[in-house]
Amino acid sequence: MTQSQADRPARVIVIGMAMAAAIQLFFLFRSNVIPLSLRVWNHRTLTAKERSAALAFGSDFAGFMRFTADVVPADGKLVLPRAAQDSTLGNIGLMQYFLIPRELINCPSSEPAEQEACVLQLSGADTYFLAAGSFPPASAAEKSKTLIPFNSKWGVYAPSPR
Amino acid sequence: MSPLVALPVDLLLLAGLSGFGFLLARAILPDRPWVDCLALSFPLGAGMLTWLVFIASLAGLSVSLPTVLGIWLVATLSVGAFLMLRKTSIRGASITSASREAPLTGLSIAGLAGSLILFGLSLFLTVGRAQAGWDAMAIWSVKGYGIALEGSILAGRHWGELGLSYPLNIPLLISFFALLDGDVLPGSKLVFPLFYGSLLFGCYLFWRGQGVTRLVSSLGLLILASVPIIYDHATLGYANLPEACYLVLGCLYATSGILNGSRESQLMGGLLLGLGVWTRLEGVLLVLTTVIALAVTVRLIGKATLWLAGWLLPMVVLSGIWLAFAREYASSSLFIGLVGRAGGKLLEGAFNLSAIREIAAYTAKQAVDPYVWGLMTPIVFALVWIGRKRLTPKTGPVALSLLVVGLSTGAAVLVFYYLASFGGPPLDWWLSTGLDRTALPSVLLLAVAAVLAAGAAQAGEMDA
Repeated sequence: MTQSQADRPARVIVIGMAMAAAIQLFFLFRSNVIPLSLRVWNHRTLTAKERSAALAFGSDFAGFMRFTADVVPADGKLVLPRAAQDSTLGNIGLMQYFLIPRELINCPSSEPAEQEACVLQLSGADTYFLAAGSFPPASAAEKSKTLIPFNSKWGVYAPSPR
Repeated sequence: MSPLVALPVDLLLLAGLSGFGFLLARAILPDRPWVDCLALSFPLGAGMLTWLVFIASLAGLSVSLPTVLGIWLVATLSVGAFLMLRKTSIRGASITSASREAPLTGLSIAGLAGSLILFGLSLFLTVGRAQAGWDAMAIWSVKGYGIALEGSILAGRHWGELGLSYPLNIPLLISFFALLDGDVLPGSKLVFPLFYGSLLFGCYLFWRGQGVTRLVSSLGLLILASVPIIYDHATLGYANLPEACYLVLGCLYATSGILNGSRESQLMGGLLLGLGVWTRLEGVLLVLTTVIALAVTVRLIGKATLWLAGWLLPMVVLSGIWLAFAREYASSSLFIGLVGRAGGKLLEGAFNLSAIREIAAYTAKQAVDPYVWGLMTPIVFALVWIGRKRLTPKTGPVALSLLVVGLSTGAAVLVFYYLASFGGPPLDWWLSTGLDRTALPSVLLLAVAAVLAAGAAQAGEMDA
């Protein structure tokens, strides 16, 4: 048996593995590489955090995060809805990624009366409310804040100018 | 800093981590070829540096750029000085008998080149994708940014989800990029393709070192590289692939070290397994299962030279300090909660058999889904069948041990999900959000064992 023969494994293994690799590559490129490359290319002009936001939650969400970061100063405090009210915008851990170093908090309850009391209590000049859905109760928020809308769904209640 | 300026800075950081890891690997494995150390360089350097920074932070130092640079400098110079004193010579790349080497064939080149192209693409995709995955944003990255912002590992308590329940290897690694340039690229995402590349390159070198031909090894490499879930995790930003890298490479070094009587390999195996625990919480479960399965298997095989101190000590030290810290600061242990809840229900006679059916059905569905595991299931079954004569204690102790560890850790993962069915979130949520990625190390070990058994069988039969 020659050296090259000794190093040549059985054809059935080699052919089987080569075919398996080719089929896997097809599935990989179809499900992952091509669609992901296109999505990445479409968002190439955005910053890293904007790309994260756009690819994970859509361009509107990315724009809203940029808008919120522009409105709320780095040393400001932003009150988010409860996670039960909005599982994305109400998730402190997730929102911290987009809005670091701002301090993010929730009201302790999503019961309307308790939430209203919480909003009234958080009326400080460095405190902002992220407006989404029924949060914050407008009647309470508008006593000390002004709504700056981003779109028809979302906005930020900022301290009213004195 | 603009992303274009940040790129060379990030590459310098990655080179620094890899350089430290390369020297450390050379110090531990003086008789190994330099390519083996190259495959280990990034995961080892990154994991050990984050662990040293963690210890320094426990000792009261802040997590700042001067601290990180100082620790890196002292660690690298210390290992370098050790190597100089020992006058280690660099061995060549060949790890198989030169007389058995065949020239590269077209298919071998295709396997190697295909894998290299996938790796290159993953570098672009990971940066382009940024941290667009829930855990990547809400856990790993934001904790790294918080630690960099506050200069303390305790920042992990209030930045990101789950407090300090998870180990800090990946968050600290990300914090280095945040400290250096604000992670504007984000350069921290480059660590995931590097773990992917190190893992696959390490498997390839392992096969070659065990006598698998270049052709089968390169095709095995391409098959692993192109599994959709593995590739997705090379660009996703979750800690599962880094954990799999540590556990699989650690298991390969530990197994071959125990069976070949190499103390150095056992030490390296212990270090890598310890770093696996330092990367994800379930590493504790998987490493414990690995240790038990491997110890029992090699005892049954009977040819083992187990150096318990060298193998277990690094694991105990690396994971023990983290676990002691986590016990102090983590709000609650998910795993202990699950075990306690399930234990109570089982004692009451509630066996939740429907959960077993659900787990089995989900596992079977995922195993044959080509968009998740590619063709791993038929490939592993076919190669194990072809190489079955090399899966005995006499003919293939290494492949047999890896197969046993792969099956045992896989079973441990399924048991974990069974325990999870006794309370908390619904089982289908648990399964759909975590089973595939939790099973990465087990499936990889099964694939490594299968290629080794079939490849070694062919080489052995041809030699006869």
